[in-house]
Amino acid sequence: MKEIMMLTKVLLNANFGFSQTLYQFKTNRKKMLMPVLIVLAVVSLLPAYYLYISILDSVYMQLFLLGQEGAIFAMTFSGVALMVLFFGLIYVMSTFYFSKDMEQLLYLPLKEESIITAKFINMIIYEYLIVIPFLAPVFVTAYADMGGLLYTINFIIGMLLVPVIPLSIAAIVVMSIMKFINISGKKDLIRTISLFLMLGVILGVQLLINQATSSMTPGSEGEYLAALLRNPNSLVNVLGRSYPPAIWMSKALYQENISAVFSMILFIAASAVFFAGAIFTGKSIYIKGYFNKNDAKKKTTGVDYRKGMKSDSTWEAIFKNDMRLVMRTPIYMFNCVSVVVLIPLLLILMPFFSGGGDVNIIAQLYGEFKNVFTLVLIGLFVLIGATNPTASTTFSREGKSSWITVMIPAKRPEIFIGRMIFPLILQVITMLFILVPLIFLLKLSLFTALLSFIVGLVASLPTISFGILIDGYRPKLEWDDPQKAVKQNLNVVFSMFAGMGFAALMGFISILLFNTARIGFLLVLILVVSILLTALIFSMFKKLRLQW
Amino acid sequence: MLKLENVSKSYDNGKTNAVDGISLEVNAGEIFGFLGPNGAGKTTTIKMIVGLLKADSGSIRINGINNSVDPIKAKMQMSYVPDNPEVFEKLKGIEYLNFMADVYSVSKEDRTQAMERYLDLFDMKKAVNDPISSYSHGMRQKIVLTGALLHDPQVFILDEPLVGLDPKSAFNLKEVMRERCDQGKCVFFSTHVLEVAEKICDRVAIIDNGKIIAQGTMEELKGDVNSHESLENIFLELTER
Ligand SMILES: Nc1ncnc2c1ncn2[C@@H]1O[C@H](COP(=O)(O)OP(=O)(O)O)[C@@H](O)[C@H]1O
Ligand SMILES: [Mg+2]
Repeated sequence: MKEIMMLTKVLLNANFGFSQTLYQFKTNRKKMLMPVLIVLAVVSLLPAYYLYISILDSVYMQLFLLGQEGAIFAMTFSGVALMVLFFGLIYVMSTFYFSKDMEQLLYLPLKEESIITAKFINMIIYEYLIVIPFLAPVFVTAYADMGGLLYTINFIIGMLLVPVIPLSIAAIVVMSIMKFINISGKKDLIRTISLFLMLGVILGVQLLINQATSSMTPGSEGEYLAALLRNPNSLVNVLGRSYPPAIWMSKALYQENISAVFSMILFIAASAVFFAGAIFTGKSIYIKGYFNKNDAKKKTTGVDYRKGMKSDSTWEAIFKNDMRLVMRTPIYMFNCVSVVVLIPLLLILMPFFSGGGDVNIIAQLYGEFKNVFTLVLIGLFVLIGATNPTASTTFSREGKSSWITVMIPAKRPEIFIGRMIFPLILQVITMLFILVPLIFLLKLSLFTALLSFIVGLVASLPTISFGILIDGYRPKLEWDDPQKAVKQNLNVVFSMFAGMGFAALMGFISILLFNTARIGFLLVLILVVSILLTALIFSMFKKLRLQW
Repeated sequence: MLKLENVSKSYDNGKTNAVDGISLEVNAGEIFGFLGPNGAGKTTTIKMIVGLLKADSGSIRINGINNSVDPIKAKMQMSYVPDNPEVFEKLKGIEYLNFMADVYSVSKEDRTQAMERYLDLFDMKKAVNDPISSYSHGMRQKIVLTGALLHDPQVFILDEPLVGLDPKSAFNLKEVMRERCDQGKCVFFSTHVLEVAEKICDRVAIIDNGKIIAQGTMEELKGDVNSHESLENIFLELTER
C-alpha cells in the first residue's frame, strides 16, 4: 500500500509537472507565461460553463415538474461516465502504451500490481479534471431539495468513484485489443488513427448540439426540454436507464436512509469489482505482453542504398528534411497537415450542411459585392495561414537534433527559403481546398479566384516568415514528447496573433480606403506591404543568432 | 590548422566560468587529445569551435578562418561528432547521410564513394535504409561519424568519440584518424580515457576547471612532471585540487 502511494505521488508529480513549474517559478519568471495562458484559457471557458449550469438548472426544474427530479443524477453520472470512457480509451493508450516511464519503473524492485495500480489511480485523478467541474454544480442544484449529511457523503464518494468503472472498461478493452496488435513499429499509425477518431467524435458531438439547438425555437427551451425528457427514447433517458451504476448512484442520492445506503454499497462494490478486473487484466495481459514484445526481433531491410541517389542544393535538402519530419511524426502531421483539409471542410461544409438557403444568399451577395468578397477571401487566407503551426515550430520540431541545424554550413537565405517552402505548399493546398468548392457552390468567377489566390498567397508570406523568425529566435527544443514542440509552443500563439494583427490592419486600411480607392489599388497596396514586410522580416532573420 | 586564443565562456550570466582563457594550436598532421575530468570544460570548448556556442571572448580560427567572422566558410573546413548523437529520428540513415552531403556540397560521385567506404568500415551497410529511430546508441554514433566524414573535412572534431563504440569500430575509427593525419589534415578530440590518448595522440592538452594546465607532446608532459610517469599519474597529479 505504501509502495502504491509513493508511486502514485511520483507519477502525479511527473505528469502534472508540479516540481518543474515550481522550479521555473523560482529560477526563471519568464517561463511562467504558459501557466498564465492556461489560466486565461480556463477563464475563457467560463461563459460556456455558466451555460452548462443554467441548462442544468432548467433540466432540474423540468424534471421536478414531472416529479422525477432523481433522474438528474442518473443523467449526469451516466453522461460523465461516458465522457470518462471516451477520454479513458485515449488516456489508457498513452499511459500504458506510449509513455516511456514503464521502462524506468519495471526494473525497480516494485510489485507489478503496484505499478499498474499507481498508474490507474493517476488516471482517475486526471479524470477528476472533467468529473468535478461537471458534477459539482449538480450537487449544488439538488442540495435544496435533497440535501443532508447522507446526501453529501454519498455524493462525494460517488463523485470520486465515478471514473473507476468506465476507466476500468477502457483499460480492459484497450489492453485486450492491444494484445493482438504488435505495436512495435505501429505506434505512429495507432496514434494517428486515435487522433482522427477523437476529432471525429468531437465533430459528431458538435453536430448533434448544433442540430439540437437549431430545432429549438428561442424562448421555448423549457418546453423543448420537457418534451425531450418525456420522450422515453431520447438519448438522455436511454443513457440514464441503460447504465446501472448511474441508477444505483441516483437511488443512493434521492432515496431514504436504508435504501440509499444499500444502493451506495452496490455502487461501491461494482466499482471495486471493475477496479480489480482492470488491475488483473493489467497484470495478466499488459505486463506479460510488455515483456514479450521485446522478443520480436527487428530485422534490417538491407535494401541497396545506392539506387536513386542524387545531390540537392542546400535549401532543397533543408526543405526535404523539414517536410519529412512533419510527414513522419503523427502529431506534427495532425497539427500541420491534416488541418489543411479539415479547416476548409469545416468552414465550407458546416454552414451549407445546416441549411441550403444560405448558399443562395451568399452567392447573391457575392454577385453584388465581388470586390468585397475578394478582399474577404484574402483576409481569410491570411487568417488560416496564421493558424497553421508549421512555420512557427520549424526549429522547435527538431528538438535535441537541432545541433545539426546550427552546425551545418548553411547560409541564411538557404535556411529561410528551405523552411518557407513546406508551409507555403500547405498554404497553397488550403487555399485550393477553399477556392475550388466555392467556384462550384457560389459560381465564383475564375478571375476572383485567381486574384484572391495570388494576393492571398503573397499576403500570407509575412505571417509565415514571421513564424520562422520567432521560432528561430526562441525555439522550444527541450522536449521528450514531440507533442510539446507544437502544443506547448508559444511561438504558435505569437505567430497567430501576428497574422491576425496583419489581417486586421490590412482590413482596416481597406475599409478606410474602400470608397475612395479602386480595388486594384487596394490589392496592389496589399501586395506591396506584404512584400516589404517579408523583406523586413527576412533581414531580421539574417541578423538572428541561430545558436541555441 | 586549428587555433584558439584566449577563449572564454561562462554560463548563467557569468556565474559558471566553464572555459577560462584557453589557448591552443593544432597543427596539420596532428592528432590532438583534449583531456580533462568531467565538467572540466571540454564539451563547452568543442561547441564553441564548431559554432554551437558563441565564445564570450577570444578568437577561434579554423584553417586560418575566424569562425565568428566567416562562420560558413569555417564550418565548411571542419566536421563535428557530438558526445551524444541525437539525430533526426524519423529519417532513414541514408537520408541523413544525403542531407549532410547536400549541405556540405558533396558531389554525387564523391558521396557514393565515401559512403561505400565508411558504411563498410563501421558495418552499417545493412542498417542504412532503416529509420534512425530503430538504431542503437552505437549505431547512431556511427551514422553521425559517417555523415561527418563525407565531405573529407580538414579539421575533424570529436567529443568523447570512443565511449559507445564496439571494439572493432573503435579500432577502425582510430585508423581513420591516423590516416587523415597522414594526409596532412588534423583531428581534435576530447576524452577522459587516458590509455587511448597516450596511444594515439601526437599532442595533448589537459584542461581542468576551464583552464589548460598542461600542454605538449607526451614526452614534454612527462618532462614537465617527474620523468617516466604514466599519463595517468601526470593527470592525477595535475588535476588534484
Ligand atoms: N548549458 C549549461 N548551463 C550551465 N552550465 C553548464 C552548461 N553546460 C555546461 N555547464 C557547466 O560548465 C562546466 C563545463 O562543462 P562541460 O564543458 O560539459 O565539461 P566536460 O565536457 O569537460 O565534461 C561544468 O561545470 C558544467 O556544469
Ligand atoms: Mg563533455
